[in-house]
Amino acid sequence: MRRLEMTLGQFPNGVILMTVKGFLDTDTYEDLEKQINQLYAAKRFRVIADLAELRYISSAGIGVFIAAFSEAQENQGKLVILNANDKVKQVFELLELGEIFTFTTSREEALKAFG
Amino acid sequence: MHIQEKLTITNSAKNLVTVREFISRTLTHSPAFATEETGIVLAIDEAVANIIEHGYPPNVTGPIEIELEIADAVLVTRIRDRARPFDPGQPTALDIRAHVKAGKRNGLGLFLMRKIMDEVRYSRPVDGQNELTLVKRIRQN
Repeated sequence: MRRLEMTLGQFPNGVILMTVKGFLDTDTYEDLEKQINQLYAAKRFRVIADLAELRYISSAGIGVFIAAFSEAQENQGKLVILNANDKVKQVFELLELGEIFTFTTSREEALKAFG
Repeated sequence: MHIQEKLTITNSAKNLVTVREFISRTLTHSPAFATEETGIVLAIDEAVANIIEHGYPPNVTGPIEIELEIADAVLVTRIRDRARPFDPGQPTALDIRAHVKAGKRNGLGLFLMRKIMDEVRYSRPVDGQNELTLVKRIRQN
């Protein structure tokens, strides 16, 4: 596996499913940033980030999610986290983001977050 | 128990994975610290990433040395480089809600280092070498 891999899908209601796999750190965060910027440039502000196979995240990766979360909100959209493992979730919690981001454990639950 | 291990890398972000593997491998020798692995790996990764991103000027290759020393219930990490001086200063509070509202994506690494580690100290000896010391203690019941 490359150090960071991303794939995109779409639900019938238009919500984007962005799968992020591998290692998200100072070396790779710009790849994710680029991917999200492309989505937002296309006005796709409703995104589920599936982190089931994300094995590591540092503050550089969290920072990308913070910026993406904020920009989605400004544009009446939403960024929802799906299936983050304990290690990844722990980093969000260390930064006191556990109650700010929406964490979900199934696609159904993630989709419900969009109302 | 006394463990001392050292790794030297150059200032490329591609080497962070090597740093993380080195820390994990060293911590496996100490059951007390192995349970704290996630946080310790993260804190040291943040410190080294800071030097890579902000220490050396662009297009300048320089060394970063990471030394881990475990003695009983204390882990001391010394990170040495020859980049520009960087003193992390005193701890500052993080207003994460304001951070999110502003969409700010930087300034989190130092907060994490301080939150995870018990001590973060900087010194610049006379020979131009920076040394950042991170101390983690295991609380024994």
